[in-house]
Amino acid sequence: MAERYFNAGLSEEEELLLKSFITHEGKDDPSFDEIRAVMGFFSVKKEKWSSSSEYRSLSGRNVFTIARIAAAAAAVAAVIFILRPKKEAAMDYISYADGRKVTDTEKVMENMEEILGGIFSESSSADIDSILDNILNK
Amino acid sequence: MRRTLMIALILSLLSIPEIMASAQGGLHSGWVFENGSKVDKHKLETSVVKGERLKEYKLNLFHSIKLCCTPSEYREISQSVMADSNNATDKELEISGGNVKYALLRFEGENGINRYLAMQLTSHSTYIKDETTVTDAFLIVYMEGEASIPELRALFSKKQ
Repeated sequence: MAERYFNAGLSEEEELLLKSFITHEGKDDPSFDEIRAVMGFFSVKKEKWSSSSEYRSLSGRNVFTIARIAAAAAAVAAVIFILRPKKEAAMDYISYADGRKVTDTEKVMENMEEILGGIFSESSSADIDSILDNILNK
Repeated sequence: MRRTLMIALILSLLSIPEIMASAQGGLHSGWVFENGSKVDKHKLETSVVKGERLKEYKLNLFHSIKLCCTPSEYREISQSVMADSNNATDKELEISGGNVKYALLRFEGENGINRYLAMQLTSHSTYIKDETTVTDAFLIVYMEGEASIPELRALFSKKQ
């Protein structure tokens, strides 16, 4: 039958019968190695994997589980990406004085230095008491 | 799987307030910086600076607001600053009649970053058509950075 297989002389039923034989009863017979190399490798592997529980679990439930975990991880990554803090600009400032926006960077910096100069320097106590009185007795 | 998704979703939602929280988060006086409706209409001047230019001062953020306010609003802000002073690592406070005249508070932050809250009574000059109007006001400042108080004092006190 093997010789007829190589001569393309087998019917469809006979070919199936031969495949079945070399993957079951004759699977350990080395005289069928040649034909197994041509048609049997796939059959042997298929037999081996299709009969193992590993294959079933890998091709079935586990593949879906891995896909779902990957989808969930991608969703979480997307949420974190959307909500990530905005990267700080190299120079980011905004200043408003008397309702007007100040766009000059140097003026903004000068204003900041003036404010911090006031905070970190000694002020006249009399001036401060006077301002406090004015605020509290409006 | 549903449980995993729910946990992931809950963790994501829990992280939102932290991401959205303002720099002044955790301070009693944070409301003053967050454009509270009470003080918004009295705002005279506001500045927010962050980025490269602040590195020379070892600061990451500078936010100041100069306000004029009613006596009751001043007392409310003063109380908030006094409440913050209870949690400060270092503090310089000048109080008169239960009201803060001057405050410089330092809070230890994470990774060596200091958080500063300062308040000072000041005046504000407005120039309109060559006419100067001086308003009594107070200034409240929030800063973040590695700089210490002595370093900031050395940097800025001589610049006035």
